[in-house]
Amino acid sequence: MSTDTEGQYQQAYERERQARKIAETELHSKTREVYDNLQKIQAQNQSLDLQTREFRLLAEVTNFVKEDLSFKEKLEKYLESVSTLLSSPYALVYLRKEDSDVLYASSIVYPKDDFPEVISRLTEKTDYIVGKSLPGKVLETQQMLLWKAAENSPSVPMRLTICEELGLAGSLSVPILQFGDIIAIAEFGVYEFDSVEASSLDKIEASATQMGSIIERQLVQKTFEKNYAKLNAAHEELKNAQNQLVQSEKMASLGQIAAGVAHEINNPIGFVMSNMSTMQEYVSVYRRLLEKYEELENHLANQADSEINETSAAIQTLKKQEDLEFINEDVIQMLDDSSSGLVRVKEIVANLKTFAHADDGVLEEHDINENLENTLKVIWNELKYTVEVHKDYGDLPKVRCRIGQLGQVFMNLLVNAKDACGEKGEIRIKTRLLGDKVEISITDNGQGIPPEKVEKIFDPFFTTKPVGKGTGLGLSVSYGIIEKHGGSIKVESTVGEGTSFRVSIPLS
Amino acid sequence: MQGVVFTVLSDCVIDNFGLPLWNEVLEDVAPESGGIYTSSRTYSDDELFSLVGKVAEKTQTPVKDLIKVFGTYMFPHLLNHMPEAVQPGMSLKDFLLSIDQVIHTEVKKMHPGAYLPSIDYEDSCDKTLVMMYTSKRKLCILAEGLITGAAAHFGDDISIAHPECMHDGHEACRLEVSMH
Repeated sequence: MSTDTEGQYQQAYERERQARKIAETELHSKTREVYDNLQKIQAQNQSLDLQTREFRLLAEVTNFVKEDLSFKEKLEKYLESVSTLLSSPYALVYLRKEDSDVLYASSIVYPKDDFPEVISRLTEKTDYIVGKSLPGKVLETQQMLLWKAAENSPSVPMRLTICEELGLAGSLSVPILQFGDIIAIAEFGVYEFDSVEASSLDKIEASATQMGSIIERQLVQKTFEKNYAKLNAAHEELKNAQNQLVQSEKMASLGQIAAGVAHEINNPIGFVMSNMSTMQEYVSVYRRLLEKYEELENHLANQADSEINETSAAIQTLKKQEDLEFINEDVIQMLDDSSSGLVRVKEIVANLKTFAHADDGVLEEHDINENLENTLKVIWNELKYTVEVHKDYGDLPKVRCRIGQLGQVFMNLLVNAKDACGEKGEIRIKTRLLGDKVEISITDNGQGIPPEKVEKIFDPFFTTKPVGKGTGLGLSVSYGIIEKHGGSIKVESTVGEGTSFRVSIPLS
Repeated sequence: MQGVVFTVLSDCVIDNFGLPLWNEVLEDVAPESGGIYTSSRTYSDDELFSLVGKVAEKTQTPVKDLIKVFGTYMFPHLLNHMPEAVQPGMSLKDFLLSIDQVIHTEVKKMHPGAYLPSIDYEDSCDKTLVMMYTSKRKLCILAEGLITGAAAHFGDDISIAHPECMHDGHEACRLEVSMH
């Protein structure tokens, strides 16, 4: 090869060598670029994976709303979700004792089947007060707490030992708040803090807030359901009250009819009674006349007049046939009985008038004992088969009152006493003078009234009797009547022993 | 302009006219790059035009003819860089039709900054394909050479008519490729 040619090639070679160097440099930088990109992609992948897991946690917690889970089940699921995100070997929940600042380790743990035995030491220790140990610290600050074993601040020796045994770096405690108050604290074991991203902590905190509001919402819903049930019950009560009102309206109408009827019956009874007494006099006249006729008959029997004899024989036959002797005795008895029957009818009618408020609004002096007697007469038919009545009337002065209304009160109390007794009941009526007041007590040995109902018995429409039997107005009306008289009505009752009503009325 | 065009040009000139000529050309033109070309880099368009002009001058060949030769020579080298451009079972026409949408897209992936011509097609009958070439570089003759090189690769006998040219004030060059 000539020097010239060699020179040519040398030139070309130099260019090619330079080009190769450039290409190599380029290749090197490209390789580095590819490597860097690969690294970036890997980091992005990891961050994407983390984000996916974080969002999964939030999505899972959000889904708790849809699922019909109990409080415990919700927390268990929450522990599982967060533990998965943090790769926690254990998690547990401290619950707050109601209305106190004390926490206790609950049985809500993760994993349920394979809970590390060494952690049980934490759950065995029962109470954590404010500021004490990790749960107490979170309760105090209401903030999430990352506790690192290496720093051991706050100092918790038992946990330090546990961390060493399990090879843990520490724990994360997350408060769950409801209406601004901690109700639970979830604690998660952490292997390595470097791998716990700040974003994950944010999401865990957000999920805890979400948990709290889900629990809040459930509580609100429960309250709402309770209120709805109450409203339903109230509606039912109102319906009953309406039925009872209709019933009491009927009773009031009946009272008015009774008053009218009593008024109408009064007149005929008056003249029938007067006629009866006149009739008794007339009968005695007839009887005396008959006696005289009998004397005449005996006198004429010895006469030979056949016509007289015939008439006499006919009279004898008639007397025997009709049993005149019995008629003579019986007619007097019948008239006596009818008269006393009429007296009773008159009394009942008079009482009916009293109870039909015929004398409402009239303040007059009355004998309370007498009124009690009258009341008993009116309802005697109801009482006599099942109840024995013991009366202990004191010596009472007359009381200025509306006697018709008081009678209504006594009747209510007596009928209630009788209804409470059932078979073989006893009612004790006692009256006495206490200073310037008259006290009437009506006591039964019936079933008694439970304490929670005692305070309601004077409420209008409150009744323990079935619809149609009681209006629920009796005692409330009675209460009103006694109050208007300036008196009081009190009740004492023991379930299984009986009930006692004490009515106190001032003399004037 | 992509470095590969320069390296292929250098090979082409050396193969056809010998190394001394290429050395002379580089000496005369004294390009900014010093004549050191690497396929992965880009160099100024002016450098290419100066080099081609100088070769034409030295060899006393019309620029047009030279560019066409160069295009034909370049095709197998380009294919070497992107062997997947020709798929099994592909015809010349299939290949030509894939240049604008497939091959240029692939080139863009490797060299995001590269400027590429655009090609519109008029495909009216089996035997003829009209390619409307547009480029700021107006290298329509190089395109003709490349098409000729492709035909050689596929073993097809073709002729190219060039009735409208950007150099004559047309908006695009009309390249009518007839297959025989």
